[in-house]
Formats: sequence, structure tokens, C-alpha cells
Amino acid sequence: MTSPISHKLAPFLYPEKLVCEGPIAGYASYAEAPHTKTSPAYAQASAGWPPPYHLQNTADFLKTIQAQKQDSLLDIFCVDHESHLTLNYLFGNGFQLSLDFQSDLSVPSLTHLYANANWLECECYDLFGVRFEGHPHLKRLLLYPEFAGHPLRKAYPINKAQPLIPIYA
Amino acid sequence: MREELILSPAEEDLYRSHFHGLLPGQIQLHLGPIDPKLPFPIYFNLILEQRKIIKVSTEIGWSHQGIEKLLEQVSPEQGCEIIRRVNPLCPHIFEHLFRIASGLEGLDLEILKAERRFYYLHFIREILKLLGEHRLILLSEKNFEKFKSKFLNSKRIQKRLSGLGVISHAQALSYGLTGPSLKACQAPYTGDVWSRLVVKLDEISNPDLNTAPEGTLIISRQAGRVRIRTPAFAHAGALSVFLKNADLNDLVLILLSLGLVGTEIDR
Repeated sequence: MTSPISHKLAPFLYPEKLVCEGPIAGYASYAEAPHTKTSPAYAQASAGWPPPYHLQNTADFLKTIQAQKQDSLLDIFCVDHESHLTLNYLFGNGFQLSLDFQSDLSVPSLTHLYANANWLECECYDLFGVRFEGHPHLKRLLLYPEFAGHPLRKAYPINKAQPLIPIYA
Repeated sequence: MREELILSPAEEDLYRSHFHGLLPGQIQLHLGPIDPKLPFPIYFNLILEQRKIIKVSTEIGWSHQGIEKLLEQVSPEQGCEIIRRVNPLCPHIFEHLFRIASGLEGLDLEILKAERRFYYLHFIREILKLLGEHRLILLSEKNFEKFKSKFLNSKRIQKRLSGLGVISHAQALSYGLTGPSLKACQAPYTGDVWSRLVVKLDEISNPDLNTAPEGTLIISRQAGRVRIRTPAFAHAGALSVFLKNADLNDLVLILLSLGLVGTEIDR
């Protein structure tokens, strides 16, 4: 007999079942359902956030950030669009800025403006392989130095083997 | 052994410190990642003069679970179960934010208030345990108002915790700190361990979840990418400021006052 708890733990117990071809049933219905985008919870969550400022040039990017003079940087996160990467910067009072760039190019670092950019940029390098120009010490933050590849890239398979981890057949 | 090969204690100290790139009188201490004193797995490389911390470098990632990658693969309903593992001590606030960002209905605010009360009191009790105040711990379980007034009027605890782990308001903004740590930097508070605990006790008494700054969670829908921005990650990045010039005895007190959890830093 299968208990509900074992059903909840299924993604942890059988990770190979998560890798499927095509859209996942629950995820597809969620994306198409009209009620989700008009629900009051969604409106509440998205209210008060101005639309992000899109840039594609690193020179414009630095000029815009220096002109903004924001107190604090809350977050830097990266999105892999397969053809290119997008870096999203979220500042203290809700100002958002996103930068599209090719994955083999480097991006200017913000460590001279904000202290927490140091770890956030290390995290982007660790998980996406983004190289930041002018960063004092770009290193792997969450994973270990021997780790091969950047796991949050779309091309990285979820069941890829790593050199230091033995494979038990 | 020939006599000229034996160094005097002063010479030996100089030789050793030069070998590790330290100044004379400084020692290097590796603390963690697993240590009975530490509340969660984290690695510190400390440079000490006597017991005073001169320089800190921190390494995280010892409890990394890959939750952001896992959440890409599942539906939002399954994701609610997974995101509770970000912080086992306060799972519902993360679930609440994830639900709102996914277009699902959020949780009851009463659950979140009770959870925050437990979370703050847990770390205050851990600090009191280190200070040997076992009567106050028992009182906190029975009568919160009486406990609060006794805690705030205790000169002994205030003297012990004042001036530890100080951060200025400008530094706190630059490191992206939120919540009680940022509130404790502004007047009338002074940004130390004591003021952080006072702010937390005030927030338990006057729960106002709408104005309290909490962690932010952002979901990029079209790309199928989940990003969890946790307050503990920002606090762990600022540990070099919190621990600078602190006594080695106070390291665990400062860590507990920030309310850090290893899984929340690493996700």
C-alpha cells in the first residue's frame, strides 16, 4: 500500500522520473489556465513592480546603473534562454534591469558599487558560467572546485555524473 | 640535535607565521564545516590575534540541495512540497511566497505569525542556553509577556550582548540585509546583537506582516526558471563585517542572533 507521504516524496525518491520529454501535464495546464493570471493573488504579487528595463549593451548597462544611484542591490539572477542568457538586477525600491548577452561574452561586475554583488556574481558564475569582468575573486560558491559544468544551464542534464562522485550500478 | 637548529620560541613564532603569510602574533584557525559548536554546517577561515578575530573568510555550500533545479522539473503544486525544504524551521513562509508567485492561493496569515514567533523565539532560547539562563527559557514557554519584560530588564544579558556583531546602516544596505537586522541598524537601535533581539521580541508582540520586510521570491514564468532569494544568503555574505574585531567566544552568539539556517543559505 502506498501512503500519501511516499507520493509526496516521489520527486526525491525517483529523480529519474522527473526527466520527461515534452511538457509536464501539470505544468502545461498551469501555464494555459486563464484563471491564474486574473486571480487576486497574482494581481497582488505583481502590483507595485515596474516593468524591467531591457538592455543589450554593456556600456549602456553601466551608465544606467551609475545614473540610478540606488541604495541597495537586492538580487542578481540569471535566466538561460538557450540562444542567449539574461541577467536580471533587482534594486532596493523595486527598480529592475535586465541585460541580454551571448553566453561566451563577459559582463561588467558591480562589486565596486555594492558589497553583496560579490557573492551574487560568484553564484551566477557557479550555476550559469557567467564571467564578470573586474570581480576581485570569481570562484565556485555553492559547488566544489572539481565540479564539471554549470548545472542551471538548460543544456545540463539533471542526471549527469560528476568526477568525484562514484556511480553505484 | 645541533644547538643552532633549535629556534627560540620567538623565532619559531616568526617562522611559522611567515610560512602561513601571517603577521607575528597572529594565528590561523579553521573552524567547521562540521563542528559541535556551530549551529549549522559552515566553514570559517579565521585569522586571530589572541582571541580577537582580525580577518574572516567564509565558505558555504555544505547543505546545497539543488532546489532551484528541481523546481524547474515539477508543477507548482509539487513545488509547494519541495520549497518547504529551503528552511525546515520556517517552511510556510517560503511556501506562501511560492504559492503567490505561482498564482495559487496563499496560506493563512495566522500560520505565518505563529511560525515567525516560533522562529524568533527558537534562536533567542539558543542564545539564552549559551548564557546559562535556563529559568528564562522555562518562563518563555509559559508566559511570554512576563518573559519579555524580564529579558528586557536584565542588565546582565544586556551588558553581555551589547556591542557584539555591530553593522552600520550604510553597510547593511550595501550588503542587501532585510528584516530585523536592517531595522536594528536605525535609531534608536545600535545594530548589535542586543538590538536585534529587542527588535525580534517587539515584532512578536506587534505582528504586522504587511509592513515587515521579508525575503523576496521571484519567478520567471516564460523561461521555466525558479529563483529563490533568501535573506540568509545576504546575511551570510555580510559575516565578514559582523565578525570583524569580535571575540572568538562571541562567534556563535552573533551567528544565532542573525537567525541563519544552513539549508536556507545554500538552497
